[in-house]
Amino acid sequence: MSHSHDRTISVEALARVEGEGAMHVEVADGRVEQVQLRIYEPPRFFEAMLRGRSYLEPPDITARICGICPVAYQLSAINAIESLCRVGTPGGIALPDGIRQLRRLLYCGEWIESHVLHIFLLHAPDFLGYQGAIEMAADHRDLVETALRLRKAGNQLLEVIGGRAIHPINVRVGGFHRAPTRAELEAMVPELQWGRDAAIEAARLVAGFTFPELDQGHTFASLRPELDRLPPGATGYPIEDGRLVTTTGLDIGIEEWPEHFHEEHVAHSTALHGRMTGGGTYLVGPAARFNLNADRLPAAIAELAEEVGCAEAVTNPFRSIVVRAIETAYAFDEALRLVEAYERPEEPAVPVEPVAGTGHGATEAPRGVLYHRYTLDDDGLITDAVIVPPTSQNQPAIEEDLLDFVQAHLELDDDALQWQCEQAIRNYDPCISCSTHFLDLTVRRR
Amino acid sequence: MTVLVLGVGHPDRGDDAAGTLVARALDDTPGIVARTVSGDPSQLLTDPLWDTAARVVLVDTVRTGQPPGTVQQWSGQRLLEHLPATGGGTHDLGVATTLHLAAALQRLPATLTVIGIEGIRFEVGHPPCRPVRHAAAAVAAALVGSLDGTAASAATEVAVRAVDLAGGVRGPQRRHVGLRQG
Repeated sequence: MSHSHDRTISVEALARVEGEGAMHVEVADGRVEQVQLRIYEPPRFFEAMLRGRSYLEPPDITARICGICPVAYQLSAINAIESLCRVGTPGGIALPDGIRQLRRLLYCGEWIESHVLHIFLLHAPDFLGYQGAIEMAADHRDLVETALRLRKAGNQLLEVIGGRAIHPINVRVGGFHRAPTRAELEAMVPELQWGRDAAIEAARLVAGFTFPELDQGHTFASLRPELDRLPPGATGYPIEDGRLVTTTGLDIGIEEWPEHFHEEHVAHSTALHGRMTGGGTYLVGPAARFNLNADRLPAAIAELAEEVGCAEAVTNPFRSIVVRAIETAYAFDEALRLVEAYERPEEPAVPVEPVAGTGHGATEAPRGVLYHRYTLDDDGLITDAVIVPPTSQNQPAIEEDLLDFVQAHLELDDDALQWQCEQAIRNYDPCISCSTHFLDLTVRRR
Repeated sequence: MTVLVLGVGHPDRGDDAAGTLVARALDDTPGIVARTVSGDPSQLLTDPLWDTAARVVLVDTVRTGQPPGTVQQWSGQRLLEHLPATGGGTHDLGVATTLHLAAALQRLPATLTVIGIEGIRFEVGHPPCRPVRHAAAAVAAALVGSLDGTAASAATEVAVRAVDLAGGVRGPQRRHVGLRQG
């Protein structure tokens, strides 16, 4: 333990995050000089692997980047390719409503699965004072049992629509290999109804946690759907499509992404860092979505948000667990609406012919905006690919959060400071495997 | 009296498929309910048979330094004493976490057996190696053989099926191979 003005705190391996990385904090003369998220997981070179492959392959190849948000990769890839190949665009090939409904419904399953895992099994132990879910389970059995059942409901959506829960195999450019029947979807309704009610109770529960003070003035960025492009039954909260908006007033089509956002190398990370043009940091994810789209929530979920203390914008990252719970309730609610409105398409997919050029696509992965860009040649082969995952975009802002948080809590001993720093990192549910296409903590006080 | 066999693994990652081969070979075997699973607790602990089956058998690929294809068996309770309580990332909590979670929830089956098949190759897109295929066949046959009143031919049939599945032999051909063995 140290309370000296100069100290270094190191965490060798952060728990309850996906992937491998470390955190290093240096304090000199009572001031935090440096905070680094050191991501040392090797780069995975997916973008290079895609070059020379067919325009039909990215949904299956990029799904392998992540085991918990493969749908995000599949649908961002599809959006990029289909926008280039004039599918679902004005004057282009129309996508049947049923295909668009299935895509959003499939994504609801992924949000449920990912959010429930993070809320209950990874993040809640921080607030309830346990090392992890196993230790928490002995004292909070009902909570863990509820989590398992909720997660299973999300998995069920993925299995019925996507063919399997991890790395779905039923998704393709133009639609699906097979469209489920209405009866197959309706069979899930009782569990979805239970899930919506359980998620609402979960939001009330997590809203009662004690949250450390941290109010950050980040720029938030998220998608915002165009209401006339939503499939029947859908409400307007961003999931699988939309324009890109920010709290600083940016409102652009996804094809304008390269003009406003870029990635850069930093010496301490194998993951690129996302920044806005001009160098500013920004945040994507549940809080960004909520802050920019709360007006799009259906009445019952909006009332829930107000009840659990989210009537205004959520700027304390520790309260992200509450927003995730609200979004989980929304995902169940939206799934029920989509099932009710579902019209099975006559054909599960529309034919898509390649078009030479560059296409851009983005969707809202559970952790935030996931952007894909592909350039195709005349034969439909990929000549260039760019994938920007949420964790890469959030890393600079996470480092800013940590710097401010450590500076404000230097009175804590090293163990307590390390614990809260790890908790602060988990606020963002970082996925290092995605970002490298994280955690050791080192705090050095000198 | 139902035996629940949970074959853990990924069918497309080399020797990691061992558990899935066992489960698939046991499809439609009277007295056995076999499932292919990822090992995630939301999949295992929500299975209605987890708490009610007469016996739960979990088959997974392991790496203990033994030669590939080596089969080891532990009781669930005994294994817990040696398994770390944490591991993996946010994306897959894994079998170890699942078993510890089950114990914390006081839902570890009294008759839980964990069978480990030693693996060595885990590359995406590769089939399991021959020793692992044969070990999966032997495990499937032994599980059928452990059922009361089961004919030896039934055990042989699932063993052949396990090897064929690993080799990509399709249904009708598989039956032919099975008859030859019978």
